[in-house]
Amino acid sequence: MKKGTFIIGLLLATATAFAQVDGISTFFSKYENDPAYTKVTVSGKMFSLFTHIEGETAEEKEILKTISKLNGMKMLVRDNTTNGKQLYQQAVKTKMPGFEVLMTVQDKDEDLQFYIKEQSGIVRELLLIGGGTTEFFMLSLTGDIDLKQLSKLSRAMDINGLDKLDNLDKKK
Amino acid sequence: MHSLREKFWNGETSLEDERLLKEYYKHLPEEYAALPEEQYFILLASDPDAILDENFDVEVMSKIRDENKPRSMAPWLTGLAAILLLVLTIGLVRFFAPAKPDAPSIAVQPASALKDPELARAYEQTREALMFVSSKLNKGQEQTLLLGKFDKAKQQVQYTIVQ
Repeated sequence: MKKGTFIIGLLLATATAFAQVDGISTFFSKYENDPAYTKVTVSGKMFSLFTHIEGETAEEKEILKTISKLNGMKMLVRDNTTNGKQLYQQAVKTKMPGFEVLMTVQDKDEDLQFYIKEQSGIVRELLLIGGGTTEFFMLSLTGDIDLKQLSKLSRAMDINGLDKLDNLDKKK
Repeated sequence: MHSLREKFWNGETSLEDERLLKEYYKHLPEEYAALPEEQYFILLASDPDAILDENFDVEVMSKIRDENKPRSMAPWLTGLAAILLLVLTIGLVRFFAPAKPDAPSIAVQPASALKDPELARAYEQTREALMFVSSKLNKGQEQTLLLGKFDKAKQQVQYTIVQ
C-alpha cells in the first residue's frame, strides 16, 4: 500500500515538473505555425559559440558579459496588428506554473508584464510579454540572469524626462 | 646392535627396533662411534623431530617441475609492456579516428567581423533582444520611479499649502 502511494506521488511530482517546463513552451508553440508571427530561437549551442566573440566597445563588452551567463532565448513577435493589447490580455491569462510576476507596466502605448522563475535565489528565466496598439511580443531568456546587469545595457539611452523630476530634490 | 643395524638397512626393523636403535645411539658418545654409519645413527637419534611429513614428496616434485619450467618475464616488465600497448592503442585510435564534425573550430573574433553568417545573425538578434528587454526593464523601473517622484511632489505641494 505504502509502495503504491509512493509511486503515485512520484508520478504526480514528475508530471508537475514537466508541466512547469512545458508552461512556456506551450505558450510559444501555440503560435508556432502562424506565419503572421516572427519566431526567433537561439539555442544553448549558439550561446556557447558566442564565447568566441570579442567585444570591441564598452557596450559590446557589457552585452557579451550578459550573454556569457545565458543559455537560451526565444522570441515571438507579431507586428502590424490591430489587436496587440487583446493578444496581450489572452497571454497574461495563461497559467504558468513556476513563474511569478516581477513587474507590470501599463500606459497608453503598451502593456508589459515581466515574469521570473527563480531557483535558489537566482533568476533562471525571464519572460516578457508585451502588447501595444500595433504589436504583440513574447520573449524568454534562460540561464543565470542578472536583472541589474540587463537593465544597465540600455540605461544610457533611456532618460524620458526623469531628469526634470530629479530637480525636485534639488529645489528642496 | 649390529644385527639391528643390518635389519634397518634392509628395511626390516619394527618400530620397537627403531626405538631401541635411537635409544642406544642417543646415549652413545660420538667418540665411541667406530663406523661412519654409526655417526649417521647418532645424528638421527639426536633429532627426534627429523621426520619427513606427508607433503615432503609433493613439495620436492613441485620444486623440481618449477626448476624445469622456462623462466617467465619479471612482473614489472609485463606491466610496462601492457602500458606501452595501451598508449600505442590510444595513439593509433586518436590518429585514425575522424574528427568530430561539431567540434568548435572557431577562433576568437571581434563582434564586428564575424565570419560565420549564421553566428553573426544569431549574435545580432540576441544583442537586439537584450537591448530590447533592457529598455523595457528600464521603462518599468522608470514608471515605478515616476510614481514615487509624483507622490513626493504631491506631498511637497500639500505641505506648502498647509504652511
